[in-house]
Amino acid sequence: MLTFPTHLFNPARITMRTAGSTISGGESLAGETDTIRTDGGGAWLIYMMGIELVTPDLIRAWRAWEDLLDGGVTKVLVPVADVRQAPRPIVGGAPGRPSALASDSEDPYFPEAVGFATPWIVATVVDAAALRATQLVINVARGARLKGGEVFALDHSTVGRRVYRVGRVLARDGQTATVTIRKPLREAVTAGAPVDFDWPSTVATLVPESDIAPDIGYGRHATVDIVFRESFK
Amino acid sequence: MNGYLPLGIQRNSHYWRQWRFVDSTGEPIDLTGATFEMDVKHSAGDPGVVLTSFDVALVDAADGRINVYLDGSTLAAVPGEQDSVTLAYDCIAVQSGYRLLVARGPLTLLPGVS
Repeated sequence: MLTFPTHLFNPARITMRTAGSTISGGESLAGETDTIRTDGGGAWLIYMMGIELVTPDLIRAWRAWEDLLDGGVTKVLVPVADVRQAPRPIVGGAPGRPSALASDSEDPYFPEAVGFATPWIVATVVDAAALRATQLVINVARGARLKGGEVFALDHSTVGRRVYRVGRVLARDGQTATVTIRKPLREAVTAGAPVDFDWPSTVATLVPESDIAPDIGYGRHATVDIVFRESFK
Repeated sequence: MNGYLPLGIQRNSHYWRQWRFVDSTGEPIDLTGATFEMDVKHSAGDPGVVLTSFDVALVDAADGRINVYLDGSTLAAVPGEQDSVTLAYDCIAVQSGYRLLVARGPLTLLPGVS
């Protein structure tokens, strides 16, 4: 499965939002309102805004991706690029920078896999967890202790690679933390499964009927936005 | 002394420098009896194995001079042969029972050409 080259298109803003539904039973006489989710946690929407296409290569690559995404038909891996908020290991007394980002493809705009030249943050699932679990026990063997709000990815054998976000840290023992996660697990995970904080990505499609055609000014420059939705096709 | 000092080395070359330690007035610091530990890991605090270690030798202890040497090929097993890889190091001087941090920072491992 191809990986969207977030690192090359370099969006100015990346936002992860929840697409889903909640319902309310209305306000009671006592002024209380009950709200519940009816979607099992919802799906991720990934907004990438302010992508500046300033070179012919970028404009051509964007057009090619517009065709590939095909109005929401094609599933791709979409990295969410959350490096600064990751549990970064310390180098020289300060949170370190990762190694160079590398892809495995001869065409840098259509990589199959993208990752750092050498693994940066090393973490694993400690205890197996079931489908739809909302808690995980994660050990960070190399990197900072989890604090909440970190984004990570798990590779599932059936539903593919999925991105999750750490909620609260419920308990801690050294580098191991029991945390809440969103979204609920898309598939069960086994103990020892690697947790990717380096360059998390998720299976997604272009939001249907999006218009992402570049509006090129003076034949030189365009600014585009794109929204992906986590895919369960 | 706990200076941040980024270092770089190519996989096909050696890092070989002489360091001299002076105080705030410019006078050399006497390193007589000091030993040095200078390891390389993926990051500070990494409980994993040491990737390699610099060879640090006193040249002129009274004048604060040491030789710092590393063969880049000792990092051959580190992935990313064609990329810039960021590792971590620090240099600890052990003297008179004290462990003093003298330098720390990233060690950038780069691919070579020749």
